[in-house]
Amino acid sequence: MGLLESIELPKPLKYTLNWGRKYSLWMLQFGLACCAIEMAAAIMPRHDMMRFGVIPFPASPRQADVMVVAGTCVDKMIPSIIRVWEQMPEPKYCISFGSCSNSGGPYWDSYSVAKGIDQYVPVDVYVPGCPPRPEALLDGIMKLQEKIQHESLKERLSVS
Amino acid sequence: MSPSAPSAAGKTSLTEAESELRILLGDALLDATEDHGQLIARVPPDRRPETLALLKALGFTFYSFCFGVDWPDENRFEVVDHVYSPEDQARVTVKCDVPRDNPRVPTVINVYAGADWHERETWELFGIVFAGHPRLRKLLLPDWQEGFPMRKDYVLRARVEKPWPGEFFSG
Amino acid sequence: MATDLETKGYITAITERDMATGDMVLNIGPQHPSTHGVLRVVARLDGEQVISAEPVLGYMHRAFEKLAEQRSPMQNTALFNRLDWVSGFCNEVPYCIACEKLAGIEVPKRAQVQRVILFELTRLASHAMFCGIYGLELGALTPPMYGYRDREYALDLLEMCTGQRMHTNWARIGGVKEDFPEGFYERIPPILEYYRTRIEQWLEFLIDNDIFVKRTRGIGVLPVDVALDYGVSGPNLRASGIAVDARKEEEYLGYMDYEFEVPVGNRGDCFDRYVQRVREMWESCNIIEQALDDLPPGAINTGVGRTFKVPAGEIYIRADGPRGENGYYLISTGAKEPYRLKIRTGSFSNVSVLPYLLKDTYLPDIVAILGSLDFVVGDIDR
Repeated sequence: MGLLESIELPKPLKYTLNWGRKYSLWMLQFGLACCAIEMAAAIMPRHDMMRFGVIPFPASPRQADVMVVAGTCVDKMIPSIIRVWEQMPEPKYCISFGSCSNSGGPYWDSYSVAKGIDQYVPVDVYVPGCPPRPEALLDGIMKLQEKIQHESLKERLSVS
Repeated sequence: MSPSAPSAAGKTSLTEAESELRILLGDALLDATEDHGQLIARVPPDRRPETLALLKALGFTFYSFCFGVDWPDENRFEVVDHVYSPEDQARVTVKCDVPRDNPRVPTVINVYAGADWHERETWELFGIVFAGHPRLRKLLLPDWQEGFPMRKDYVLRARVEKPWPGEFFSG
Repeated sequence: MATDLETKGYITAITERDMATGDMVLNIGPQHPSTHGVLRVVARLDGEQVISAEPVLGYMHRAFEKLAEQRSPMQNTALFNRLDWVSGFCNEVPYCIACEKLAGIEVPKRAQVQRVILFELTRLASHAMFCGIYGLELGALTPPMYGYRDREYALDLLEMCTGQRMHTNWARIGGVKEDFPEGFYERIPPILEYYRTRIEQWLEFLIDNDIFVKRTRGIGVLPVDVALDYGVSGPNLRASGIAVDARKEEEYLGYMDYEFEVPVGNRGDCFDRYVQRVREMWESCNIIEQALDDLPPGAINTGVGRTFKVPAGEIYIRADGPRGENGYYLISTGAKEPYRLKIRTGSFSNVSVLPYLLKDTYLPDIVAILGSLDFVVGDIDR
């Protein structure tokens, strides 16, 4: 059992730790469909995600903090999504980007589309839109950063 | 804007294609009409490979696509091929009717190599067996998919459980 | 064995005897940074050489054809934007033309010209992104920054007119949704100037780069007869040496009134496919300029209404999109929804030629060839 899981940190330390964590997110893009283009546009010079402390391209899921599921979650692809999610180390977060991964989107009645990635993976932030603007992704990241700031690592990591 | 019509060379090419098909197939050519700029030829399923081989020899070298249509009231499937001639800018559609309870049609993969994926897709969506295709496996659907989704009796369960509420507003 | 030891040396003889290699099956994707989306390629390798490679599809199969059978024409227009998601408007237009031709509806000239302008702007955005992404596939990290920056200017124009950057949902049966907003007409020529300078820079940027040339010249050569057999279309086919362009061959959107060239490549390798798209961007700028001069006053929609039922009949309409030939075979029985709509997309046929192209290449060339085909997985799997 590690230190962070067993004790509740004092406020200044918790504030500093969360502040460091929220501004150094390594984002794994799970770009599946149209939303991947807008997610890539959020990284590129016009919208520039890096000024929020979010670096886009981890070398592997094992080094990533945030998984952004952008695009339609087709049933055939779900095992891969779950496998990549399980490869990420704790503490990990998931942003569901776009209406397809929020709830199935325009393909709600399709026979091959999963109605939202939150049926398989716990989602922290939902970004609505079809596709959401890159600024919406930046807004979603800011909301995630707010969530991380107020988070207690003991509660998160010691869930059994 | 006038309906899309083939060029003069294309029109000649379509009439030439029709007459060549008549010579080859005789009475087996069930129907040949020109409709909206394309020649639609209806042939029996077992004559499909030689029809397409003749069309390829006539210059229709571009294999555009192949798909199926489900007519449950008439108890048949239709297998539709579409080829194009880049030089003459003419288009021919070849249709075959197969019975719904035993849908088998010979493959044209030896004529056009591009038919490979189109026939696999038609098989997995409709259940039409292309006899002679070396690897008739699933292309787009996952392995655990049951049934043939594009058939008319395959219902989309999400629509059955809860009908789309906007139907009331859009007339 | 004794002879081997004498002639080749101890280490080489032992290596060749004990370490005989076999084929390896390498699975690339579906989640992979360089497969352009969720395309999975299963490659059989002998060392670095590819013996055979087969793409596995279906990871983005959303069943557009089945969904189209449940939706009215206006809903279908909104849905089809998501087929080739990089160039949304280019997917709506052939479907609207198919419904219009079956119903015998005449589209006003002003709407035609507006459709042309938006279509070519979308093509500019798509090819600008391709130029950037292709550099990324080959390992250069600056081109995507430039490519996406250039794409943003075209997306700004699209957003000003339609309200949406990518999935515009602007074409309607009978014309377009609304007229151009105030100031839109004046904003286009400076953007075209900008694109013209950028096109020249795109050519200098990568073409003189030794690494780029070595990685793309002579790689993935696609002969014309193989391409026609598989149904390859669009810039991929034209780079192989034959000028097949639906804009010159079909009477749709009035392209016959504009003067533009159809550039053709000569070798059909990855390098030619890259240059082909850059040259087509130039021609798109020409078309937009001529269309701007051609814009007549008048109505922009014949006013068909939301409860429009497409008359019975069948028709095939194709358009030349940035990916290739984008066509809709519409079989209608007189209801609101189509009875059967076959969506013929460029990327499906383009990718079907991959087993042919990837035979006997090297492992790094897989990525170069995949990128040069410029497919979009939503277009393949529909």
